[in-house]
Amino acid sequence: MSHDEPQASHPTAHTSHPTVKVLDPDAHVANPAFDQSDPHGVHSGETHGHVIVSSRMLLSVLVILLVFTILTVFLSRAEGWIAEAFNTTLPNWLNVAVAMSIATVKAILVAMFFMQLKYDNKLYALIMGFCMLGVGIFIGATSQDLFTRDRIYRFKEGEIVAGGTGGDGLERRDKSPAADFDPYDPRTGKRKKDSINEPIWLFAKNDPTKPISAEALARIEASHHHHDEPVNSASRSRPMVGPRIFADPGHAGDGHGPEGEH
Amino acid sequence: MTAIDTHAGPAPTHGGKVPRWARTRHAHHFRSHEEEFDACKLGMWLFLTTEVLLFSGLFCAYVIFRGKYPEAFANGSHYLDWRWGALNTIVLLISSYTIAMSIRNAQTNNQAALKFNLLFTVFCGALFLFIKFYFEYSVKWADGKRPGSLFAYPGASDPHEPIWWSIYYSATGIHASHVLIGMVLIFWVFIKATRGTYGPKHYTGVEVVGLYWHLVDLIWIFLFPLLYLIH
Repeated sequence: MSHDEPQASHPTAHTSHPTVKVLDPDAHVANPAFDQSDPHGVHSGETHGHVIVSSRMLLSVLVILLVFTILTVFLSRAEGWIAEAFNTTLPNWLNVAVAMSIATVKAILVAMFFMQLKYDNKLYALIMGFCMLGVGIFIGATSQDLFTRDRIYRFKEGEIVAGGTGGDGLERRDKSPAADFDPYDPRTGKRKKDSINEPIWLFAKNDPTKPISAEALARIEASHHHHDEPVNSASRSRPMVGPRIFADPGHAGDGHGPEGEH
Repeated sequence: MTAIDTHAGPAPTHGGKVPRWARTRHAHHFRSHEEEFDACKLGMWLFLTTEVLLFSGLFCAYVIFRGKYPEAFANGSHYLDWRWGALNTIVLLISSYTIAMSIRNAQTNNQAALKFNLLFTVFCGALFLFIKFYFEYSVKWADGKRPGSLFAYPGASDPHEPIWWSIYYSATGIHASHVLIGMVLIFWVFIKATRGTYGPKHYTGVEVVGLYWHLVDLIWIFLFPLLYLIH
């Protein structure tokens, strides 16, 4: 029985891969039937068909990882040298992209060879891949939302300063943005291309590449929900000023508060 | 009805003493040792995904605050010495190699090399923590470069610098705590290896602890360029 020779390397255990050696594949039985006389597997063979990665493969992966480490450090320092030597500035996203791609390559090498994802059941790689998808959605969706907020709300485009900048950011609430925003450059008469400075909903409305006819606009306006019923202050899309819990009954006020509640 | 003979073991081969790894029995609710091994490995992979999600929260915080305060982050990364970071990266990569080798040693029943590689991995982890705490954290903390409300560095040039330090300390600190946990686990596996628990038939502990350590290395592979190299 094979368990009597625990170090038996099967003479026919040659695979097409010279760098990996499978531990006695001939004795491996997938999911062996439960042996009632041997419930704890004392007599079962110790071969699992698991791959033994050669030490040469592991060492070369280590060397490649170290080379990539040196490379990533060199490239990040080189950006500074290039800027001085050629008197130019490289865009910041280049630094980030290069560093992150080298880090990704190193991570894939560690995962595939040191963690043996390459040789194992593909389920593990699938699990890790799904996890990476989750991370991508997490960071990607957060970035997409956060870094385009200045296109939606003008008052969010400034830098956050401790103590605030004075005002509650609501000065524009009752002002039409079109009143003080000119989408056309007064100097050249052309439409401003920088949509960052224009609230995106207004940009979409005034986009000359997508003209909207008067009837279509009227139809859209008619289909919009108008405030013919009281709107709960929690549902308002614009913030209210001041407390509304105990509204003065004589105050028609700004919101449809609990008038005549008693 | 066949008599169930649970007292017979494998025939003694090594001078009359059967090594512990050859006497290992899988838990009875598994049908074979291979099933137990695969189940343990799957469990560890699932746990690793939760660890990745833990660190992705920190990475997301980095992305958010870097986007909001780019000058503070560019300033902040200049305070870090990339040479210590690169040295720590090399130390962790070598430790990943030694623990991958220790799995191979268990598979080929090289007990001496198995014990050496496990112990060397623990040593590399200790070296990583020593470099981090002695050459980086203690120097910065003494300077007043501290997170959030503990910030006390008079030479700060950007009003949002405490946020940079919060991100730095929390990301590297949580990573360092994982290095410490990994060291404890690997040392425990080493103690078991000194008793001959691991061999070609049974090396689950080495495999599973190796996966954890590789993840710790993976996280550092991403942390190093983000904190030290990107300006």
